[in-house]
Amino acid sequence: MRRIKKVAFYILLLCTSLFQFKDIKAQELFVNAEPASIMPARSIMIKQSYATMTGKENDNNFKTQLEFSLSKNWMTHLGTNYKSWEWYTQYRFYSKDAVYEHLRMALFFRAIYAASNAIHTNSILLEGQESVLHSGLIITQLKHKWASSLTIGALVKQDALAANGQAGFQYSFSNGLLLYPKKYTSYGQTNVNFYIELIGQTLFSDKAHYLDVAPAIQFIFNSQSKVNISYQLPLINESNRLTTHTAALSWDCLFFNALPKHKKKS
Amino acid sequence: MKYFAILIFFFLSLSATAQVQSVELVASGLTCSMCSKAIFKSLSQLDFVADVKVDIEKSSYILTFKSPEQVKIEQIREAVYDAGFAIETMQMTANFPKRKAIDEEVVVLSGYQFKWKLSNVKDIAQPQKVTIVNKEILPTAGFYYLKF
Repeated sequence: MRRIKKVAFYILLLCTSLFQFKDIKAQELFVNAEPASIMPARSIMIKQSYATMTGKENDNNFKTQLEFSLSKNWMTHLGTNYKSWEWYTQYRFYSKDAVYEHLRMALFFRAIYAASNAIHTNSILLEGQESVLHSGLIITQLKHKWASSLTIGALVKQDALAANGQAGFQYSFSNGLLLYPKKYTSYGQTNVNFYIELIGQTLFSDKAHYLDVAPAIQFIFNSQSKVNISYQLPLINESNRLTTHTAALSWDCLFFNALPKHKKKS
Repeated sequence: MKYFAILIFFFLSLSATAQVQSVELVASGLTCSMCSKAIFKSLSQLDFVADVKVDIEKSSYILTFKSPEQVKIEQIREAVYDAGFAIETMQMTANFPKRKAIDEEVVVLSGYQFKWKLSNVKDIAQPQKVTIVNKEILPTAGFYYLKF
């Protein structure tokens, strides 16, 4: 409990200190979470990531992902780390926009199919180590200099040892801001963004839980391609998961208007 | 023959006066340049748009057209919403057929029927910048309403 209070204190301190900056802009192109916003309609994104994970065991994850925006409210992703397959879909059902601000909400569903299943830990691994179903709600608020996103979802993994599978909650709280440029003048400017994300999981069965913090830096080139560097480490770890620290490097590129437009009948 | 051509040109230029010259819109719901580029790309691919000038900082876009009679307000609106955002304000610069603007009077521009929404009669400059007042740029009872 003392540890949680300490963590809450540091988060509050960080949030208030970030508010002291003047003329900063919020950014919601989070590295470890999806915002409730959908990619521009009919766009395609290619994403490549490499993560090295350490802890009780060491592991690597090399992941390729293709993301499609089928409409302004609906997108779907297909991904593989060459040991597992992942399908993700997200639907935005609420959007309230104003100048430099918005409030958006979306529902998501994710299915991970892993060829070799069930590593018997009291946590659910989402990097393709085991087969998992994951579904929930995303709420994202962008307000001038502040972009925050909350994701709450339920998880269930397929585990031969646990008769009813193992289930739990996954949640994340992401915040982002623009460090550079101070003023936008062209799409060619390289943008530098800073993110701080909290990622947590609680399992129902044996009350195991963890809460990680993941600071990340992001470079955006030509307003189209991103390079992300993040490091995830535990604040609280009351689980026996195999890896606890993750260093990740990823690259993605967005292709606008790549899918054909569906013509309406007039 | 020469006079005939001049006469035709004169009538053509007369009919071309009651048309939208440019549209300036401010998009809402964004702060990042990637989001701004998404709107820019979406507007640029409209087949009747000749050029899009953008101010990323202000989220404003000025559209000029290949031929003013083909301006499609619905498609401009849809392009911004498809990019994932909304329109805060939409203004048009146009040459108007009349010199006076009277509340509720119908104005035909680029094939659209507009109506003035004014508290008193106003003089129209040539060209005149006007604002579409309809919420979310959706026509009400078939009309887009204009104010100065």
